[in-house]
Amino acid sequence: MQDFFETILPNLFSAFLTLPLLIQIIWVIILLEIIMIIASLIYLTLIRKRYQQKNQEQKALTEKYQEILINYIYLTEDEADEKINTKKLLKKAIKNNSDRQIIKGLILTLHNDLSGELADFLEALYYDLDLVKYSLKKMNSSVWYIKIKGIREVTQMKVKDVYTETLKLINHKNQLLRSEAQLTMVKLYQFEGLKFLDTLEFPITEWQQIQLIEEIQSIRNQEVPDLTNWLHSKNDSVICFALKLVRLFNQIQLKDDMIKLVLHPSEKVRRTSISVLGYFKILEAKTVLKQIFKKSSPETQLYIIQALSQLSEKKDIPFFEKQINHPDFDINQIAYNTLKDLKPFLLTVNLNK
Amino acid sequence: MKEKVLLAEDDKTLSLLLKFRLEKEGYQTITAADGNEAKKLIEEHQPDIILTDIMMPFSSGLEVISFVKDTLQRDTPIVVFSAAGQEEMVLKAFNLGATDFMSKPFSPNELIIRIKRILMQKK
Repeated sequence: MQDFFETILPNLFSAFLTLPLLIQIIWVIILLEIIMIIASLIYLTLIRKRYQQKNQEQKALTEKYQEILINYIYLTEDEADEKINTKKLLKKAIKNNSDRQIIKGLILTLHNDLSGELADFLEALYYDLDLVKYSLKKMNSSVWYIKIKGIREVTQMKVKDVYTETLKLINHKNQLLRSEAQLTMVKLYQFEGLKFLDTLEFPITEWQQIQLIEEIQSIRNQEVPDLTNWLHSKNDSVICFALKLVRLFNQIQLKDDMIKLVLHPSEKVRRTSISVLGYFKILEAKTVLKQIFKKSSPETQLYIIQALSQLSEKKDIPFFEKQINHPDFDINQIAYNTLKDLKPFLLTVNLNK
Repeated sequence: MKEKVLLAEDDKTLSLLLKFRLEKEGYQTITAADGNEAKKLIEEHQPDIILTDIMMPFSSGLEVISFVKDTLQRDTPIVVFSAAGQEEMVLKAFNLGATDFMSKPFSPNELIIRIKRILMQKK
């Protein structure tokens, strides 16, 4: 080693000085790169070691809290002291960020798999440990996906006092966040939560409407709210959604509002209202449907003739006869089939001619 | 002698919770974290009843049922845990010979009642 510093290194350095400048520069670059690679390797190894250590710590902590939590769940009334002590321990633990994440994660995962009294117990524990506060913190984060995580947590744990916070997110610029907030409104507040439709500025996508309807169908209390206001909304998708609710809950008393929507400027609203009118077999809609038939686009004409077919009576025969020669195949098929039902004998005679 | 229950569930927390509950009810509980471990433990311990999740690493719950019914040719009752949207899998499980199923989220109390009923019928 002494030889290296006293003779080899000075000789190498003097040999280096005799080299042309370009070669010297190249050597310096090579040496620097070697040093950088070695430093990076050391850094990566250290990071990996730290990561592994952290993982092990997390695993150990998870196992520790798993046992504490499960023991706590199954403590009986006779073990009140142990119950109080465990709760104290958990309350103390959640003050530490990583411990809190583990405890919260365990409660949420278990709650996801369990129903009945254990699920209720976990919800109560979530409140008792004041974990709601941290979910609300997430909901108020500036990052949209953290907000979503917060919303999901409060929804899963049925936290009811987040109405204002959730309502604020209904018109957020991020679509995923908006959708999550809308679903939460229905999941937590049921029909009351549908009030978000009053202030919704963005369109509700078809998929979102399907998801909302699925949630609404699971509501046990079937006292349907008044849908009239939403049928007059400035947001076309809200009108279409309200029309679907009208159909779902058989709100046939709103037929006058539905008939008015047949003349709505939005084609989508017109089509949705036409199909709902047909579904309810509202005969009063026939006149207006026939009036707008000619002026409508072929796609809307198809909706109209389908509805009229559902409403057909003998006196409508001339209308359907006119449509037998319609250039659109689907339309003339519906006309033909309707006529077949209305006057089977006459049609056979006419065809034979 | 205590009746043996084999619990195959990859969610460690749920597995621990169920084990705790089953042991409180007086069952000897053997847990497996995946399908392969479950198959090994079934052969080794010959449990009286098997509780298995459908979706598990390495071997699924369906493979576990097939192993018990076809390979080992045993009539050990098997209760399957499924999640929402796994209805097709549940049908396959029944076709393979599963005795009962419980859809997640489920109540451990209900599970205990079902286990007791199945084991009574077996006797």
